[in-house]
Amino acid sequence: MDLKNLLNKKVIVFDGAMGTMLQREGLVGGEIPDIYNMENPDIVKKIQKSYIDAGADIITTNTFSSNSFKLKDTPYSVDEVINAAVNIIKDIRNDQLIALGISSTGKLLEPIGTLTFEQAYNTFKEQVIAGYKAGADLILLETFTDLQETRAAILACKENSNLPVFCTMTFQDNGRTLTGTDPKTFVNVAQDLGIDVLGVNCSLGPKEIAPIVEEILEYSLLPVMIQPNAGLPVLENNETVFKLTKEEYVDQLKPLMNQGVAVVGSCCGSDPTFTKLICETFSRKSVAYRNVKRKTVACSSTKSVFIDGRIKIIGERINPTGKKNIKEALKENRLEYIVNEAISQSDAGADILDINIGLPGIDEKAVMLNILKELDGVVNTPLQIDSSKTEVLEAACRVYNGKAIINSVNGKQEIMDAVFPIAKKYGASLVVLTLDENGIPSTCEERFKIAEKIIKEAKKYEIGEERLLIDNLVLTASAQQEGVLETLKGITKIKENYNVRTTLGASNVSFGLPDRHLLNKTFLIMALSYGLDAPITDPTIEGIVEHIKAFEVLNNSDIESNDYINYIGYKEIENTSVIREKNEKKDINNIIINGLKDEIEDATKKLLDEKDPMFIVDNYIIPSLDKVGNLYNDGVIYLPQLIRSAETVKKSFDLIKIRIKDLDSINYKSNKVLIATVKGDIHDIGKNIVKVILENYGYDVIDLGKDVSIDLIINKIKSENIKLVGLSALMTTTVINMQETIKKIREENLDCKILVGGAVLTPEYAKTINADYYCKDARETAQIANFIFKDLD
Amino acid sequence: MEDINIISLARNYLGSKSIMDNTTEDRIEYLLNDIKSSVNPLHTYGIYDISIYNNIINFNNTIISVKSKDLSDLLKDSKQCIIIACTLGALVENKIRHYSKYNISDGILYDALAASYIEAYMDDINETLQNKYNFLTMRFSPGYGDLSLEVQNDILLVLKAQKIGLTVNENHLLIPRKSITAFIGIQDKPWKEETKLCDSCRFKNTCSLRKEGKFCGSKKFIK
Repeated sequence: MDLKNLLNKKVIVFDGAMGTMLQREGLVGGEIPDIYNMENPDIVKKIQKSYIDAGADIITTNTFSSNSFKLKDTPYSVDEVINAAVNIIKDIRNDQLIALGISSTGKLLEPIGTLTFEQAYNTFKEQVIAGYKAGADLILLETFTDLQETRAAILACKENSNLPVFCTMTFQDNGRTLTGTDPKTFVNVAQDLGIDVLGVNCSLGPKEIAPIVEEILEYSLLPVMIQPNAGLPVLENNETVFKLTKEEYVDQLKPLMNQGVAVVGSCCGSDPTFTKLICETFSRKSVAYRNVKRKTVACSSTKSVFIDGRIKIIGERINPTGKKNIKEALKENRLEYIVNEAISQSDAGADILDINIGLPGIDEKAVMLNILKELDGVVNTPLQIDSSKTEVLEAACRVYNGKAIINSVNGKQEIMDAVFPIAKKYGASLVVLTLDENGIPSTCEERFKIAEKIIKEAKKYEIGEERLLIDNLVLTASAQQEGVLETLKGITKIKENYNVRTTLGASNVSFGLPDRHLLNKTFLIMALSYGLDAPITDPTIEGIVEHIKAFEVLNNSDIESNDYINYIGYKEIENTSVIREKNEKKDINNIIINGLKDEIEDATKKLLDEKDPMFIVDNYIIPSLDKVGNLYNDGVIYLPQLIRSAETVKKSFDLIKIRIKDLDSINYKSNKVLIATVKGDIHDIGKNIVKVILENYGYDVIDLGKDVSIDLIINKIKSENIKLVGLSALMTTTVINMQETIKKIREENLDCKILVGGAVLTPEYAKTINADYYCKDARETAQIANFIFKDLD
Repeated sequence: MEDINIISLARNYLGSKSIMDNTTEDRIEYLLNDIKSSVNPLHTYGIYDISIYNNIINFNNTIISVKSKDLSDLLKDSKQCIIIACTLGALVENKIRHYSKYNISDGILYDALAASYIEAYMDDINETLQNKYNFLTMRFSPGYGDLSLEVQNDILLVLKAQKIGLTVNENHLLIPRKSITAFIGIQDKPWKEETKLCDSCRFKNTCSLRKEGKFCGSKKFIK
């Protein structure tokens, strides 16, 4: 069959269910169907022959589960099973094509699960190479539910074969995949990764998946395929059955085919009689025409943000330039600070977040990858990867669970040669700086010329205008006042001539002048009226978001002022509640004991004006903490209240620490404690509680997170000269790894104490696995730490 | 699924028997609403004929064959057994991560509420099954008594639980975490609650439930 010439012109038909058919042939519950390729090849052959006879164009190998995880407990290798599967079809096919079927690893990826992106990639790579070698004609990635795993699979296909790639995901009745991806986000992310066909399979019946398919058809520039189930599953006589008849099934397919579906097959509950009727009804009919325009979009795994006429705010706060707190957080690897910046900007109204962590002395690539992992799922705001290092851009775009914007490319040939291939490979959009080898031109016309050159160069990589966000570069008004208007005029000019979008790092304009916020806000409004689409700014500064909302009313883009009215209403509710709380004045002990987090900073600052920081710690903080601890022990307050007080103290402590460092940075020293949830364990709430309590007592806590490898713990103990390690394990099956970790620490003769905690541990068990201390809760951990370090001092 | 039951079980997980201060209770209300508006709990189950010999339970026509004295005792009057799995899904995990990063006290509350939500969800399904099959034993999950967590791998394979997004890692932990797998025996006569499954439990000397005269999965614990 001539796939290249038929695809998206004439309807192509895939085969139907394999699992359903194998069950009829005696497949036992829980058995891996792929084993039949080795042990009952004739049964597989019979089923696939019946699909060929029914008229299918493409036959899928029986290799849904043929990955190293699922075949682990079988006597067969991935290579053997896949090779057998391809050969079974080769034996019986005429001009049908063989699709190598690949589905999920069955493991959940980080950060929710424990499988790394590269492990997933390598698992798929093994399957792709085996199928390619065996002679498959194309690859069908099917039934994926996790966008990140889908990305890993696509990259494995593209980097290890030259076969066409068809890719489907499975959606729930709420219109999203199990990990929360909506159809348009799947399309936006997948279609620029170099695949050939995309669509939806399994999920529900043809009628129920209609809204999902329609959304895919609306956004997909690629041919669309569908393989729905034969209706919804029903339990009958203790067996799952699908009740749709083939006639009903085909009837329900019709409206979808009429809207432009190009490839069709069936899934669970179907059989070759379905395929036969599908072929008779749709095969080789012309594919209905769709007119899809490419859109400018950035995506996280659960959200697509279109830059489409409405103003989109790119949050600029995660950038160490001129920000002491971020610098310190990056140097000390306190990524939670960065995560908090991301959450607060998103809450304030950022649509996209710029991530720049360029700081001398840190491993930018490693930190960037860690931040992306931390943010994945915690904020759903798409990210803009901001780095001057090509290797950081490449590594970040590879693992980013979505579709990023790269910040940035410019007119220097060397930069374009390095950055455009990354954007092309990973489907990223780009911020385009209008400068080149000769620096930033002073006039609007010269910058326009550079932009034109870059737009032209991008086309060589098949990167269209709509994937470019032109940044005309702001000059500071204090140094080059006449240049400010040139920048703005450039915005209008480039948009009049090209279908690009525009962005602008707006905050530089005020550099060197008083009341920078005032200038920034004024400049922002000016730029918007010249046509700026996506300002890079700080949405947490009062007035920025409000002005943008107001602008959109006056600019006639916020239709009926709906967003503006909602936003202002929301603000007013927030303000009244703040006023109410602030009216009651309380002393610091009271604030801590009641866990009033919003009031502690002002109270601490006031106290710091009057008193020595150590005096505050000894006479206010510690006594209040003790009081809270006693209330907890006496059952007057409970864990959430204890923690709220602890968080309140932490805020106070952060301010006090800065003051202590300012006063005597040379002698300032805090004891370090390393904490981690052991390998294989994914429970970290208990460990997080321990962390905040230890911090309350002044410890510098290095938190390695959950599922932490033994090697990482050992290396950190050595590199940070750790004297106390806290390990957590929650399950009987992971305490083993705690034991292994302790064993390794002892073998390495590291001079450090080990304390352990977790639901399944007992003091006796702690002793048998050779820990120094067992802690029943976070307070006891702090007490033991105090005791240990008192001894060491 | 009544809010009041979910909240009171969550309080129980947090160590409290009664309502807490206003701030905490306000947050509980807010976070429970967040769970209810964002979560899409899913379940899947199957019913299997079983045979028991030497404390090994065979689930006919499946790959499951599991050794456990406690489960054998539980199923001694059953000819059929329901295997069930349910999960709150990956998004709840992300929410827990979100709250824990920004605000640990909210993270703790959300975690406890999610844990009691999945219990309540499972109770609801249990009740539906109860109405359908008359006499059921208590719900018995891997990790209770002498039943090893390892059986979770096979349970997920048999139920094709990947379809509801439920997986295990190499240490047999369910991921997403807010998930439950369980066995429920179908009997011809009413089932009588017994507590002897504690005898084989490694935590019998330290278990706080046991000190209160309760045990895992006991209805008394839920109430």
